[in-house]
Amino acid sequence: MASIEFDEQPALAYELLEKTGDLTLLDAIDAALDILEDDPGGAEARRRSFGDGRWGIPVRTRTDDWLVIWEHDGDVPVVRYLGADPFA
Amino acid sequence: MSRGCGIRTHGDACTPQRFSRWSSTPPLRDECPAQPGYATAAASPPSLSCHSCATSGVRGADPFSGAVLYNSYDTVYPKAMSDATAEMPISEAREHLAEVVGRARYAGGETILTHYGSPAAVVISFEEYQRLKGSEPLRLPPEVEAIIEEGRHHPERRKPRPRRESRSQG
Repeated sequence: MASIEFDEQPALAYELLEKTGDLTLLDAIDAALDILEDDPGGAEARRRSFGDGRWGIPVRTRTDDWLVIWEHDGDVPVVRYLGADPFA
Repeated sequence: MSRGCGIRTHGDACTPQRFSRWSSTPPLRDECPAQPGYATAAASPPSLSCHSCATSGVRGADPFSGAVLYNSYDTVYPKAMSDATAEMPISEAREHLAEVVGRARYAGGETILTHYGSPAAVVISFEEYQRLKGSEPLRLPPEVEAIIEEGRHHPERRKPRPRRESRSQG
């Protein structure tokens, strides 16, 4: 179990989603973050490779395709990007 | 009689308890009158039918596996089934292609398509395909690269993972 941290952009994106009340998407994002927190070395947390140690977890609901991009900084998994999936 | 959808999950026996746990998800409402343990759907597409009784509009579990099938991926496909391997005859897959693709895309499931009972092909998500192929890393768009670089240069702005007081699921 790893404590994960958020860069500024993903923190703001999450905060904005909370304000707009998109619970379905928030739940899906939280589920992805749980996966990352539980096992950052696992395949589920590394569904996409962006090189340079950066990994992606696609987050999908019926209406949204989002992406969590994260990488390790030391031992800490840091979420670098949270937003629309540019590959969807 | 029902043709069923043909999906079976390897090494995973169907149990009514298992299905009834899943059937408590919102889209599933009443128990199928002809097949206890199978639930009718709130808004099933008309083309869907119960695996056992062919009652139109019934969403249910495969009699061999307990696998919950069909759409409304975010609610019907449970996490517990996300890594399951299932199989389906190609003839059935023609009629359920959207569901098979949805299962791969949204639930991370693998569906083996069989031809006269022999494995012929597998439907998996693009991400899984990419992983198996050992493909080159994806190139992020410049705007996303810029966001990542900005974060890397300002570790002092980092915050712990935000926690919601209440989550509507999980």
